[in-house]
Amino acid sequence: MKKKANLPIDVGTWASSTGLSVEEVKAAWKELRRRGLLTMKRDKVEVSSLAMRRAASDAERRLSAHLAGYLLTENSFIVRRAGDPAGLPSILDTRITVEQIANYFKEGWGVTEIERDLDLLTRSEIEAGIQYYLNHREEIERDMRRSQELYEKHAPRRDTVPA
Amino acid sequence: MNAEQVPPGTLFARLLTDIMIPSQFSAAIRAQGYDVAEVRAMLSEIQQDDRAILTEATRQKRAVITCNYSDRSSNFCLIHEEWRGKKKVHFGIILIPQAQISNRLQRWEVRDRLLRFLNQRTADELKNQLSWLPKE
Repeated sequence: MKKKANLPIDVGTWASSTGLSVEEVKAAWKELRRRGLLTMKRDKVEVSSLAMRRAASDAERRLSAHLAGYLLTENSFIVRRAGDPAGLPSILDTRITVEQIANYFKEGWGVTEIERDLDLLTRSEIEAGIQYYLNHREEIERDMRRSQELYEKHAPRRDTVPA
Repeated sequence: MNAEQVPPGTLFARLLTDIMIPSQFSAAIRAQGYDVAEVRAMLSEIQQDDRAILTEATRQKRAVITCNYSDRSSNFCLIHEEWRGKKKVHFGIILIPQAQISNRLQRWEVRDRLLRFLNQRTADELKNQLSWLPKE
């Protein structure tokens, strides 16, 4: 009974949804549990809000992000909010989108400079954002165009001062 | 603009800048005398959730300045509509384009456009309004 409480999980399902091996899932689960980042309430897994950003490996990041309900991408730092429609590709657990990092990158900013502006992010997270942009240029450029079109459509050309 | 009969310091909007707005930008608005708080200084539970940000801004009677208007799953246009439907009050949402803030020169034009926009409005006039930063 006690053992079951420690591993109440369908390791196989988790492995296939995270792209990890069963051994990797088991090890990541054990480590995240040991550090108190994943806890069990009844038979539900609770993911600490720190789990994803404190994860020490790709496997830990992927597992905690999956358990927190994010949609994973091939890069363990980049996720989408689940739902219909799903969210924009973002840095795990931050609300900073790949599009926003890519906007800086396209303007010629370096990682150090981006880090100063988006000071919530680590160097690895910014690099992951840039890498994701380079591997998915079309998708991110489409997101950029959409943002620009929305702004162009809704923003007034000049300010109309209230009476 | 009705500038009469309000207690000192309450005429203009108090502001809360979202996490993607650089500190340097918030500081530039603050330098003109605005009371600007930053989401980056708040709890991570608030930082990670659009609704929590608007709720906290409302609690502090601040207008939110954000670049999140295009994420289909959650953005401030959607939340504004949702709150309006529920007759929930907020103290204003101002949308500014992130692609211009991440441009070294345009960033300062955005600052100037924002300051002009803010100077022309009382806190009351921003209340429950979703505003797009004017292009000029």
